[in-house]
Amino acid sequence: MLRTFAAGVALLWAAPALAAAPDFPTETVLTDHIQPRHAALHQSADRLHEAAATLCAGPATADLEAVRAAYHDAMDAWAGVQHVTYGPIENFNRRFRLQFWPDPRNVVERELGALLREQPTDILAENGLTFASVAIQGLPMVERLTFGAEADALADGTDDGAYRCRLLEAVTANVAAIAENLETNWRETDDPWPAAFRDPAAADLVADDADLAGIVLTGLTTQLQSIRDQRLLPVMGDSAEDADPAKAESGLSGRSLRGIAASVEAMADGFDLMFAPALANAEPELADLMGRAFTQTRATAQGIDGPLGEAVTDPARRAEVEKLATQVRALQQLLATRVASALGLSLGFNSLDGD
Amino acid sequence: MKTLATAGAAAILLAAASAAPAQAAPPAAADVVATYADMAHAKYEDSLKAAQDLDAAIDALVESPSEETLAAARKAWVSAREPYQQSEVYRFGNPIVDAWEGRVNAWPLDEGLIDYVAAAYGDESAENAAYSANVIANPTLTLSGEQIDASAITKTLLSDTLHEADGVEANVATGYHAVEFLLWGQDLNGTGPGAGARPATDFDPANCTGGNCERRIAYLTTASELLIDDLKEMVAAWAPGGEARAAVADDPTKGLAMMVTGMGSLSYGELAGERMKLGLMLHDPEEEHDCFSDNTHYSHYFNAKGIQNVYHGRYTRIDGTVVTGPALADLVEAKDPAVHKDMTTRLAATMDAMGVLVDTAQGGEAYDQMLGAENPEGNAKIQAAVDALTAQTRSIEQVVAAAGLGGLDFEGSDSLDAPEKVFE
Repeated sequence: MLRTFAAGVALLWAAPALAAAPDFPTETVLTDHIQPRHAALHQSADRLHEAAATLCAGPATADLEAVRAAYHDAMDAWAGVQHVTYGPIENFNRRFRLQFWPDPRNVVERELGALLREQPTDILAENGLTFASVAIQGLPMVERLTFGAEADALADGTDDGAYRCRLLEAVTANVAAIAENLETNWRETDDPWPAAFRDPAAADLVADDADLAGIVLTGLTTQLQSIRDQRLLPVMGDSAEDADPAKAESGLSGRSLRGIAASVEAMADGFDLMFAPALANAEPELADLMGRAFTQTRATAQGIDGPLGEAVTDPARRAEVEKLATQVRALQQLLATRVASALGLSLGFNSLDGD
Repeated sequence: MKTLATAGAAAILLAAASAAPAQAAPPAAADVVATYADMAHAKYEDSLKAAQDLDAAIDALVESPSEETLAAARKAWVSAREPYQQSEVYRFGNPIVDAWEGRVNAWPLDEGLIDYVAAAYGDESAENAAYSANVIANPTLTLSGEQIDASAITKTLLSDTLHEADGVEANVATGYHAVEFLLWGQDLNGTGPGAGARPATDFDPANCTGGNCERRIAYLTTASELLIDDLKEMVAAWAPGGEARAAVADDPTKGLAMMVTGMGSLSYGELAGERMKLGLMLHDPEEEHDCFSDNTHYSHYFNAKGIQNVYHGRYTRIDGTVVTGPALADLVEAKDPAVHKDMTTRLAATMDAMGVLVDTAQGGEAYDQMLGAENPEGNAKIQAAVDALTAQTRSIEQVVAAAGLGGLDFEGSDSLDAPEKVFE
């Protein structure tokens, strides 16, 4: 409980106003960062749905591998936009419908069990999942169906397997529909969020570009806090003996660290576009430091072999995971304090501020 | 009081100067923080008083177990929630309160640790070895591979051995929700009508239902006494000279930051997110805050009320008297009237949305029915409250900027002293 409190307080304040307020290239961030990354998410989700449809049309092991590969691509693309915590993702529970996680009570598994017992067909219809429990709607359900112990059932020709396949098709269609909506919203000219990025001073949503930059920066610090507090520390425990591999994100597909690396890379990209130029002007040394911080953190995440759940119980690799957690914390702290202060930005509350 | 005094002073100045609208001078941060601490003290005093009333009602139940005495104890529990839930806005932002809170209001809980449960609950959980330990039925039990002597149900057993046993937060052995479970029992109605329905004979050794009535009585009375002990501690912490008061008064500007941190964190991450949106998205009554008693509508309502009264510096006590003084609202109004107007409006809008939940529940449709998958109207009512809390969070961020609390940079206990040295 103390841990989350601390993070909440850390994000509150920024420094006194600067002599000359910096400009932020918000339109470039929209066109060169947010829009292409959401287009990539949409495309990868479409391919995932196509791969699932192919598998279910004529079950074969090779097709299951194709679905798994497409799942990894979609997860990479999703990691590439997770720091965009504001905007269309906040509407209609889209974030949780794409990925309900963390799931400490194993709701995804429990609800899959109930679905297989009762085999309801209403949720398999077009848009049938929209108002269902978020736990059965998104990528964690895809992972459970395609990487779980009974993934081979998808191709076994039994009634149970056939239902699993229809469910997989429905869930991947749902994921693709949500991704399409996100991409569309970020491209629409009359949507308030892209409008705010094109012309912050004229927008209803924000007062000016600094206000919007504060929101973008809050997205980065929130995602970094999530990586450390939700994705790393609970798996690491206090020691190798105390580690809890079952708490790893995407543990079945063994891609926790790959996701973290993809997210850090995307955040570095966004930071370079949005903040690096103004920071190079205001505090060149800090700009250099932030460049090194993103590069080194990403390198650490990419350099750890094997699934996170294994790495934390192996002494040599565990030291690297600990280093990664420290780097992520340092990166978050530098953004929330030094960068916010140097650029005169005010950070907001985030969804992790609670218990 | 203060408002009248300033208004009077302003009127005199105004008469002497011109007809231009008066801008009251902002109150001193130290005075705003003093009101905040006074309200905290009153809220914890009220919580203590209500917990003592609850304890007396529990004694009456034990003395003479009947449906009437059980109903009276349940009523006392509901009343005890009213001041306590208004105090929760102090939890986030005040490390002293946050460190203490887990003993009093930890949630959600794996209730099978404490007493008997229905078969649907299951026997085991991958995350919690003590998931169905049932200490009321078991005078000896095994925790973390160690044999525990639970033959005497004592405060120490509950607070030191069972609470958060194995480091699992769902092992809640003390506080409001442990008492709630004992008074109501499990709510087995899912998203249908009805709350927990424990019979009074569960506390009647002469006609015992549920088994182990003596041990259940011992557990209930012990947990009730612990709650009183814990609340006394927090009353003292906010009394003159108390450490929680000192933590906000010693540096009033930092104290202001702690006030708004509590308002924003409770509004958004905790209440809108963890306590409301999560259950709604899953349509899962197990994620309901007061899941045994179906008192969730009031718990949420008084959480929101607590946020509102921190801003306005005004708390109505359980005896009807009012604690008030220089407020954050006065400070913001003096610095940026537009932000103040927005904040005031949004806090009121949240109370309206929470009022709808209360009215609906009092009309016979409980919170767990509202969040059912087949109840779009109920879902919309909860969503409206979530949206209002989210909107008010945005206003709190504007208050942060308007109150001119820039330059503050205090980090938590896990922060690094020199983050730049992490990167070579």
